[in-house]
Amino acid sequence: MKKFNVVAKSVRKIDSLSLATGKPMFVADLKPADSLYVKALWSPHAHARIVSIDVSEAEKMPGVHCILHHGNVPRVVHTTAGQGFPEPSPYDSFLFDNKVRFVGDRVAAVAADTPEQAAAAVKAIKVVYEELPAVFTIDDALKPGAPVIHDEPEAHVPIPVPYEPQRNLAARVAMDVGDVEAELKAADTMLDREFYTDYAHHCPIEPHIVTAHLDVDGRVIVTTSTQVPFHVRRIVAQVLQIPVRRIRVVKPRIGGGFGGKQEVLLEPVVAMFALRTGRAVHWKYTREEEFVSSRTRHPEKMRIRAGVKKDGSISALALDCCTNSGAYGAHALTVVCNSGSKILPLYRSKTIHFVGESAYTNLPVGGAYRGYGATQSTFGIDCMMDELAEMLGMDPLEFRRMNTIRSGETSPVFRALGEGKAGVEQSIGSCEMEKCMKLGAREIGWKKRGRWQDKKGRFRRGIGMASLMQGSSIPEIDMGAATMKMNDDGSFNLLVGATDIGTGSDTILAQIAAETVGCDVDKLIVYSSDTDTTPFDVGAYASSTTYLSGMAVKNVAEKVAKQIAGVGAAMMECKPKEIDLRDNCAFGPDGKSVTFSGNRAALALWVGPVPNWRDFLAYHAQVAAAFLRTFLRSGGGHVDRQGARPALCRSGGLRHGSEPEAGRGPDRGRRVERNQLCVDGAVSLQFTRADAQSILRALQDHVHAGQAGAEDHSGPQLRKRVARTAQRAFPKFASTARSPASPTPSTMPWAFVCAALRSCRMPFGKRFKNARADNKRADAADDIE
Amino acid sequence: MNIQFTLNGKLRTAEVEANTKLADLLRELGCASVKIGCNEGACGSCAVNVDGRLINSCLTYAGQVNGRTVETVEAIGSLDHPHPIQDALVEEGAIQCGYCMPGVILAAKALFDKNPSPTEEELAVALDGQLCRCTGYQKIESALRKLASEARS
Repeated sequence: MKKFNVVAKSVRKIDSLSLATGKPMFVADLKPADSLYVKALWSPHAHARIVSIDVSEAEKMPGVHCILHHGNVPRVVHTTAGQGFPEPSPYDSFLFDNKVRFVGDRVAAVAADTPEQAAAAVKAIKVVYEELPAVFTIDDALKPGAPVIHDEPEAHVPIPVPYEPQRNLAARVAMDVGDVEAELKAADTMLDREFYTDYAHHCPIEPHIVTAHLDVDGRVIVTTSTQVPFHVRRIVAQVLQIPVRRIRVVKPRIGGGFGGKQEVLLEPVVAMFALRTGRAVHWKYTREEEFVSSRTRHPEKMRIRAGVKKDGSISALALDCCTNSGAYGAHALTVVCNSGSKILPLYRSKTIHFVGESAYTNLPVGGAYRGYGATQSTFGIDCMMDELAEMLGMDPLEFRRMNTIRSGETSPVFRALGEGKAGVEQSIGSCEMEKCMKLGAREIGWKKRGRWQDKKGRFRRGIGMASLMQGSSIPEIDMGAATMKMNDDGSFNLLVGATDIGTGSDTILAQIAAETVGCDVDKLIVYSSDTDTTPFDVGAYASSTTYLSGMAVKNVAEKVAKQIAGVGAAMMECKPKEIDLRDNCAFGPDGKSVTFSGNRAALALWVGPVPNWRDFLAYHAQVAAAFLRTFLRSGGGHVDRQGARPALCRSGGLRHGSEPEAGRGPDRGRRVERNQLCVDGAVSLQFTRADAQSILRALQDHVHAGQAGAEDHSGPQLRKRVARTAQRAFPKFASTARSPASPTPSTMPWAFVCAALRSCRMPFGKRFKNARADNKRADAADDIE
Repeated sequence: MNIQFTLNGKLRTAEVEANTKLADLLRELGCASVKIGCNEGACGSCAVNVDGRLINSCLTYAGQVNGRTVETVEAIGSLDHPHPIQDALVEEGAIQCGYCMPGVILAAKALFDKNPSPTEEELAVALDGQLCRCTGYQKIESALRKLASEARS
């Protein structure tokens, strides 16, 4: 195994000391002092139509600036689920609607000078409701003739999946392998059970909180506690009907998410207030609002049937489940899909049956929550495993060991169940489930375990076990990207779209970058998730950041390392391939080395004649990787889809266009990625002002240090060299750099910098073309894979 | 009403309403470390030390600290000179999202100031009011246990 210097080591989480010293790092700490405060009017009814809404009195109350309700905002149907576009969730939500669908649904919102004034104004809003019959259970909701919760004509799903709002069906997914019914009949033992799991709430210690203000150009800057900044930008643009370019979403430190903040709920309202009032606007949920009006874990009802043979092998496994989606269908399809796709492949059954449905009811809304559907069905299926073992007179541990999927095996479920589409063929690359069970059994003293019936006394202690499987990343949909730049002191800026919500991903990604370029982790300055400055990333979900965004970071760092090696090779007069990067130094083949920084002769300050130094001093790259790794949580192994699949998309050359076929066909995944990259991913290959300044500094250092020799200070040789370097850096402006008959050393860098600054506003012609060519090559390579 | 109290070693005066909560006042005075998680005394993330005793500042009226001494995390350590409790938590990897940390640190400090080598049970009691959603408490406890055992040896 490769010896690592930085990864696989315990390092201090890079933001932890700042957090421990209570620095202002969260949304609440960053709101402008003169912010308006938002309070919402929540529906008191489970199901009602709004007959009329009168805000005239509320509007006159002191401190009130703006009131939003269904009568004065655009009616745009959308989903609040922060998922890859096009979302596999039904479009069934509006900023404000003329109908309320659960107690706690949004009716109106007030922005006022103080929270107290906003709350008082909310009380003064007069609403006349026409109450409608409501449904609260899955069974009632799906009965023929049940009240229709989404009767609005706009409701639809943007991808072709089953959706029947007229009978309260928010989602449906089904698969069959073999004839389960026949196998159930033929089984030696058959079991038929129903299970039910209840609501749960994420309870991040920091509730949902958003601040928005307008910048000097009238753009909306949304600072929000979110897991999905790029989805926030897209959905805010969609709901407010303004271009994406008018919105900047900034993610500061986040006080936990657990799936609850994979939802775009408050942001459109706050952004709308900011646009309407021109003021900074702030909205923070109270703990009570957090429970009722954010999102929850879907309650799930499941019927499980299983047939086993005398020898203990499972011959049939059938799971029919339905989640209670509540009033809206956010994540309805994908959560219930995961109820099947994550647990069913764990057990080796010849025949499998799965139907997952999700029902609208007039209750709080389900959404993403750690485990994302897998937890619910795991509870049911693993209870079944214990019962089956007991019926067979087998040890539950042995029964599971016998029936669990192993290395080298596959499951038809992988191929059948994707997220709103067919899945991806996968096989188990490595799996240590058996070893894990053995170790666990030893540690807990499994052998001492008796039957609970045999124990005496009112209180009896038992030992049990459960096994489960989880996945990471959504294959051929999810993507991450990173930009990396070396500074003149040998440090690196690492800009990632990956969203650290307290998970430590900034630290992990810094470790990966540091390992790759051979420096210490404290040389990495990580900035994560700002839609203006960092490249696209789907966000923090599906346990994917380390694998998905980590792969993007590894790829970009490899590019940087290659350039560092190029400079090192030029300095030490050897081949780049011979350079070894470690300990913040480039080592040559003969034992010589140059440091990244620290003295005048250091690599970061080198401006000698090196073919690629321009890129090295101010380098931008953007690499995306889609990478699937399913792993067995308790087993510690993982499933690989025939290895990693890096670099599906590259920077540059991608134009946003609507692709009507994006939802279908084998090529869908790639198209979606492109769309996402186009919609959300800024292509930034130009020099920034800071870069130009660092070039200037480097040049000045070069001049003052007299590296080229004292006689070169104002001599023609240096001028020539500077001109040559400038020419290389900015071929477009070569004439600017060359034209004065003999530019003096003092004016030369200025011409140079002016050119650099000008280039920020210019199309990057040649580079753009190169990026497009790169893309084509990457595509060709992908096709061969 | 006008109140006067010592905040992190400095005498401060403030004009407050009778129902102004201490948590809101402290945040207004620039103590960003005072986090408001539940605003009803359940989570402990707004906890501060008043005269060396840990209280939930969201359940305390600003008027109640008139003439008393209030300490927040800002006062007990800095990036260059962290308090040993802060250092121990960072070193152990006990800080994930960090939102609850100021409260946890002050709870630990209130205990360690009185008892530099608390038992596990004393630690558990002292941290009882501090909710953390990320860590599962294991690393917070082990960091503080180590600190306590260092004090013993």
